[in-house]
Amino acid sequence: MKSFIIKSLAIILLAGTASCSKDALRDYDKTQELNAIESVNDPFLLSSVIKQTALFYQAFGYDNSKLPCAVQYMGRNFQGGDNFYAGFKQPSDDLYTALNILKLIDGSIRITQTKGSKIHEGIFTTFRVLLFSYITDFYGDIYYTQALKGREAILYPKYDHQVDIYTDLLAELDKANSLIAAGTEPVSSTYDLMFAGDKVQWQKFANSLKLRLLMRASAKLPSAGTKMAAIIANTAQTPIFSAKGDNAAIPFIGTRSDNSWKGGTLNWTSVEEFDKRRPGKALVDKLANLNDPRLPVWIAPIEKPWTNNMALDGVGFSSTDPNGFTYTSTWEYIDRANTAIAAQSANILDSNKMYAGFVAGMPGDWKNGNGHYNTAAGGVVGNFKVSKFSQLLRQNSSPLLMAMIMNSDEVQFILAEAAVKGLITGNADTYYRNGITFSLQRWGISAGNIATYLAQTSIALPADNAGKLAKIADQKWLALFLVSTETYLDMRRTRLPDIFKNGYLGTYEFPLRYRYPGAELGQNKNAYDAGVAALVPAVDIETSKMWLLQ
Amino acid sequence: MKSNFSLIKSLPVILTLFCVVILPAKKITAQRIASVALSDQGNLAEGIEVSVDKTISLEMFMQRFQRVYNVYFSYEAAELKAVKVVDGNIEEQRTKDPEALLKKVLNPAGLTYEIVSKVYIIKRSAPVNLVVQKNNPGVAVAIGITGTVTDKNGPLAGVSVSEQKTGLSTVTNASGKFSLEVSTANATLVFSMVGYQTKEVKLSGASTINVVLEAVVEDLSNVIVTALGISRSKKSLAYSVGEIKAEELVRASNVNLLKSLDGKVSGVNLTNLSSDPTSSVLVNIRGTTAMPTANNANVSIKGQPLYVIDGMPVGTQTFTSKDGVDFGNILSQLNPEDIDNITILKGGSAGALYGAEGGNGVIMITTKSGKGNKKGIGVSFNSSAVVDKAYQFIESQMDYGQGERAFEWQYDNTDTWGPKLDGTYSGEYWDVTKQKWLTKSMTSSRENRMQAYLQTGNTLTNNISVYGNYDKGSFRLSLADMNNKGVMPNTKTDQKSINLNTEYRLTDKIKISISSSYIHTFSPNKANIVGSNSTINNLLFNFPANLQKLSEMRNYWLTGYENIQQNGAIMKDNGVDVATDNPWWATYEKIHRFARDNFFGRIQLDWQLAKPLSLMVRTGMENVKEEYEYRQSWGKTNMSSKFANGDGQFVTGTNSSNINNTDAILTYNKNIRKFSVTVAGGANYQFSNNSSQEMTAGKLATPALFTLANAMPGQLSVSSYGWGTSQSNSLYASAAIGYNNSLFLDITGRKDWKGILGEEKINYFYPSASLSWVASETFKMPEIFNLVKGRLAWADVGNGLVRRRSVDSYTYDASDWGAAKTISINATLVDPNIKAMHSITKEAGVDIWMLKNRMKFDFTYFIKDQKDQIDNIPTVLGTGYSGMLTNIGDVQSKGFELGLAVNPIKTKNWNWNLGASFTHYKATITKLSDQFAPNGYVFAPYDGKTTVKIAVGEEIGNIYEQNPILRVKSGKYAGLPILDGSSGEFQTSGDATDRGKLGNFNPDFILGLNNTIRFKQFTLNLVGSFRQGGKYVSVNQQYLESNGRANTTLGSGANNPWWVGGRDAANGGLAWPAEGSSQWSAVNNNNDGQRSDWQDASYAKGVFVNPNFTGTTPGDGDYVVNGADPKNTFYQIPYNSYGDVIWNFSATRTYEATNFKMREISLAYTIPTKFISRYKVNNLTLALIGRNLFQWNKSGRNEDPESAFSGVGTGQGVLRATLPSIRSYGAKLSVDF
Repeated sequence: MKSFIIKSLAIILLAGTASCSKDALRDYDKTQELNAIESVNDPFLLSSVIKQTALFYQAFGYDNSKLPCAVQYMGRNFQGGDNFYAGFKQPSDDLYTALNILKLIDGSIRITQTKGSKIHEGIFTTFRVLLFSYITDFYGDIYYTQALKGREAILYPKYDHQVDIYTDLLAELDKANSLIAAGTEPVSSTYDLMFAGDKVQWQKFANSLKLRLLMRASAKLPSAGTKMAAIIANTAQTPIFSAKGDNAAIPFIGTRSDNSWKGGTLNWTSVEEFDKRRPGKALVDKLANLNDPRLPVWIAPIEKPWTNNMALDGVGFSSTDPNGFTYTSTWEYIDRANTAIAAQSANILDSNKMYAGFVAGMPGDWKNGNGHYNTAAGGVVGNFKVSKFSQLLRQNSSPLLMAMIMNSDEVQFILAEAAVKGLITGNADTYYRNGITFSLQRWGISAGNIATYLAQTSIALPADNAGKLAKIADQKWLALFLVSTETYLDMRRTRLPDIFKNGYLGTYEFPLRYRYPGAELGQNKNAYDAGVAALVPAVDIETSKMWLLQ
Repeated sequence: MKSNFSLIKSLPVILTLFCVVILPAKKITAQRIASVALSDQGNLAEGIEVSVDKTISLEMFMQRFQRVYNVYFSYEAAELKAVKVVDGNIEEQRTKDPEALLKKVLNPAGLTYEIVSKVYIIKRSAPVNLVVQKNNPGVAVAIGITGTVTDKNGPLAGVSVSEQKTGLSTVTNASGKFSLEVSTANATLVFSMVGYQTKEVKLSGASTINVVLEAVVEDLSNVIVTALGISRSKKSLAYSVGEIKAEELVRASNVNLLKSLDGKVSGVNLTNLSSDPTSSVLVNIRGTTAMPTANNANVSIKGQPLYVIDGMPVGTQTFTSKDGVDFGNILSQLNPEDIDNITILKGGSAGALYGAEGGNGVIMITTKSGKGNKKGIGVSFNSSAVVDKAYQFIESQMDYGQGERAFEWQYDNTDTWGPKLDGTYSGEYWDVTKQKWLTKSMTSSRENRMQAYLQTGNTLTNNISVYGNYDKGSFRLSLADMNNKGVMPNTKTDQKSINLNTEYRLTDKIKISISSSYIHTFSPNKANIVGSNSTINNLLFNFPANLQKLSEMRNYWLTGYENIQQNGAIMKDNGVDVATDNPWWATYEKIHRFARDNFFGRIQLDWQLAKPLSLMVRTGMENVKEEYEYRQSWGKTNMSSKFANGDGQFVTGTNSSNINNTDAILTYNKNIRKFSVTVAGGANYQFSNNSSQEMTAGKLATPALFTLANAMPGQLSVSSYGWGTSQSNSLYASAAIGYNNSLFLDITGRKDWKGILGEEKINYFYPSASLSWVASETFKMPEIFNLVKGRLAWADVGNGLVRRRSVDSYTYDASDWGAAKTISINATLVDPNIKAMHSITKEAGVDIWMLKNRMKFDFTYFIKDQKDQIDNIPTVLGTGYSGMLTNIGDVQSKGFELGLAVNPIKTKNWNWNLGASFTHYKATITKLSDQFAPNGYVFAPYDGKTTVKIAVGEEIGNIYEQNPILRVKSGKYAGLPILDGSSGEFQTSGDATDRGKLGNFNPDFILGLNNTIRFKQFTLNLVGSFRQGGKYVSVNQQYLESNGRANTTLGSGANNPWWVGGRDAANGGLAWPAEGSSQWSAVNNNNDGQRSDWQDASYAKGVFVNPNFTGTTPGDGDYVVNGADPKNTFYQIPYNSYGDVIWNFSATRTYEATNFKMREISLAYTIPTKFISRYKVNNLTLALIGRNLFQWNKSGRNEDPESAFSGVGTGQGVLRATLPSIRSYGAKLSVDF
């Protein structure tokens, strides 16, 4: 009996230690984690979509130097492939970053539809159009109707034709405008990082975006003008960005690398990365010729400017820019008796100036821009003869530095161009001057300086349409400085400003598109082949023309 | 101490006495008396009385017994075979209970048996004989005999001493002494004891006699522990298992258990992560059948076996690594002195009972217990001291200093393409001792930096164990302490362990056993010794010969900036910012601290329910907790941003894991005529739980304060957090049927149910079958054959189960956007039709034991098909997912393994044992999913400018070059590189099919050799392993060449077939052609930009297309051979033409991995008993030990091809900076009381 008790006890004990409570299995937590998509709140989705999209766009405006170099806002004085469009010659994966955000947006739209959050649905739809238009604008035909449907067993999504994508995107923007107008749910002012809960601003964004797309497709869509006119004819129903604060942009927080301006010290702890990017000669010269007050805001004085005046040799001076950043410079005499300087004298393009830009199309690892000869002292990136960007761009955050998607000045320039081209009725000069004003205001230029600037004859629009378009393009080009993709897409479309043969670029052809990502060829070949077939010529290279340009 | 226990010790003897005297005394039969009487009359009796039971040898009896009852048996000592027993006439009594018969036959001969896991072990029953003596009426004359029994270690207690004729017997006391009264002065005494060879001594009138017994181990080894802890007779096994005994694990005092397996088992490939004695080991059994994938081309970690400690599965073990530091795992922590044996279940059939986890083989580790020792209490003490010393240092040229060209000094360039260090060039340099810029004529330090940096490490281990063994139970308690000082300065590991195993018999049918271990490891600092982030990397590649000696760099803080800024080896020209770390700063201010607590144990109940039925219930767990810190002081960041942004870093993290297993197994064992049947059925429940957390202070505010609160604003982040739980329920059954003791059929089946959530639940069935035929039992074989066996096995085992659903889930971002939280999407796509991954294994083999078992040979051929590997196929992001989890394909591994054990010499003074193991296998991809590789092949990115091809027919381990040189495809220049038309440099071919195969990192075969020679008190043991074949890619060489360190960079020669020239005229540098001397402007432009008076023009061999050619496809006439005409040659300075160009092409730095390693040498001397017995010491052994004393590499390079990893456990076959080889030698002392 005793042994039986011992036996039984032993077995019970063993079995007892083995058992496991349901809580220990964490099945509740596991279920929660798997079903997390259903539990996210609208505000969190809103802040996330705004943040991710704005940062994604801003990257194309400055730190990713492919586009800014292509449109000559900047040149690289180290690893200079972007100076002559080298980045366009390889398959580009940029598409995939956009798709990752679109996945978030698609999920968010599904949730808002379940919850009936119409304003949020409209906002998300606007961003969805923005990102899909980015994809098709840069690649051509690409997946749209079959995109992001892996769970519906579409592992090889087919591409849609660009014309069909454009048609649908425009319709989606109309839908977004009506959804936002009809929606009644609250929009969190904290989580609406862009417009602090003002839903009319979101309508403005949707309609302004529509203007941008219509202008881009105006050569191909016969109805573009009518549609543009319809928007501006009824701004109560379809409001657009029309004032200086109407900007789809968010300021940086500046406390961590991931919420700071890329040029700032939190992201680029070493100044080298900052110093590799130099303002382009086209930009500096244009600003200087126009006495543009934005010049000292954006650009720093040369460290060791050239002078023809021997007396100035070694004389230093300091300067302070409109944002209070100070710089010291030292004049250096072009001493042709010095063999090192003499050897470089042919490269000295800018002398007796405080500001000089980097010549377009300089080859890679070229340290000698503007006759910089002391390469040993300058190191890999330290050219003393070309301006750097101003210290403003070295900040982690500033009221002037925004992650920008679209500003009110761009809308005015679109309207100015449309008016000149007769797509809409309206005074091109007014739109043009509004555009300039909004842009200068955005960079903190005083009203007085704006008036002085506008009063110059070099600003006034000439009589001929070609001249008008060129002037408008010049100002739009300046206004879009640091604004992402738009300048490139405009230059591709209008061939203005005509700076394509600047510097060493004579033999390089301006690229018209991105090559498809390498993975498309590997993992989605049939769709890829169809996409390439729609190009003219039907080759996946950067100079083939997509529907928009055909 | 010992005498205190004598009462306890004798207690079981008294109890046994009581039982035997009181209970069976009455039952002594007439037959028994007859038998005793018969033996009194000796041989005479045989012919006279046939009707009375005649005697036969036990061996003969047992052979018959085995044939009738189909049981396994073994002798505790070989000489028992010769013991005469009555012929029990088994055939007539076959219907009776075999155990009753056995008792009936054995007991009169002074024998008994014990059933250990169904195996009958025949042994002496000494105490019973004592009783017989007292009651023996046949003794008429009594002659007193006294004596002492010893073994080579000293006096032996408990030895049975009996007179052969009469059976009168006694046992020796604690000091080995005995006294016995015998019947005649000419009597023959038999001395026997478990584990010793029985000895017969004729008295010949002597009244005092001293006897030395010799130990035996051989016969017990016929039993082997198999899956789920089931003991089986080796004879009946139908599959190959590897087995290593305790003594082999500790002979060379290796602190890392797995390392001591190397060279000792066939079919197993062990790979060291580095030469560091405490580094982790990767184990691959019969070839890695994991397929590389585009996401993870490294297969060395995949395919690790399941580990089982004392019957408790503890999962597949890899290792813990942080920041490139290898902290080992539970296996590297186990105290080798506590391990009784390791069994490696190689094939699927052996491991099939482990179901979903057994697919890569199983390594079963059994810890020592008190059982099996001699009765009573004993103490063992071991101590060893071993010195670790690095050897085989990589060489580099020390004649040229910093710079790009040999006429120009550059203090800020760590490449050594600069001027000759013969004192003719003077230049500025940062004097680390004086901490200022000085100018001097540059000379070479002539210092091998690695040699100067590394120190002599040492390892001290102490181990004490106490065991007790009694009839009712046993225990063993062991305490161990290990201290390792690394060869890297300022590195250390301390380890303490406690192990307690106990066993107690509640009744004669119920046994409870408990085993438990606690191990604590603490490394105050363990250095990064593998890969590009290590100090070693810095010393190898960033320390030009002209820098000062390391001993002059010890003041690693900048004076006035102590704890703030380091005094670098190379400073930036402002003199406060560091360009190249001072290695001493990295040594003392970059600290990886690590602690691991590990508890594992189990409790087990064995219950003999009824005669054929027994029940075993056991539950156990393994619990690991790891704590990790990375502490980097201030000292690195530029002074200008240091105070604004902070410097240094602090990371702290914990991992914990817990795995629980419970099994219940019911076993039925019955012999039916010529069949023996053993059926077992059982159930298992497993639950595991793990969590990890890591927090990082990215930059510190106060220089040397390592707390999270000291993080600079915004620099605190939770790097990882996660928990995981899993559970499984399993049912399993096995049936082993033997026929006539010669045919054995085993069938097993296991079903696993996994998953916690309903939607994730999945189950799978794993069957196996195996058949073995002992031909030597069926046919009469020539006498030299003791065992001839053929075997066949088939199994379907698992490699894990999954069923997950596709998920679009959100996670909150680590940092907020101001006041707003943000989220990110994490999406995974899972093939809804995904199948479980499993392996089908087949093996066939033979075992031949001959010449009285002095030669044992085994051969096994195996095929292992891993089916339906689960991994991610890449998808275009247009699907919304970067990949889909699905079945990507199959891999097949084929090979064979041979084992040979020979005992060529065995005399009183000499004993020579020779063992050899041979392993060969190749694993090949046999099937690929069309979704995974739509074009039939995929290249996966790998390290060191290499890539891995995934295609049907590809061998696992193949490495391809990433950048094939663009070559002329046809015509008379076919095969020559096509040089770039503007610089004359090599170009990369964009065509993936041009990629050449560099080789395979797996060996063609591994030969392990094991040699033990004993001469009297000396034992010499040698273990070596030879690995033939395999290639590795040296990233070391890539850096050495591009940095201008390698001797091959001085000038062109046999080693650089594609380059002509040198860094100066003396080394073959060519004169630069005159300015504008070429007919082509492209050549002039290129050459004039670099030309100088210095003679260092060099060029790449190949052809370039005539610059005037305008067509699309150049023909033979359009190519110009570079170098043919000096004026029309694209020249480069060596820095570019060699340093940069060679960088991209891995084919030139692929080397043979063939090597031989002398892994262990030990020479032990056991002090003769006569010197130590008076101190009550049983054994005192002193050994000199050496590990890895020398190594031969076919490539001739000072690199260990086995440590070819690009990081900790990653990129096998690609060797980045790692420690040189390390040899260890020292002494070990063992004392047993």
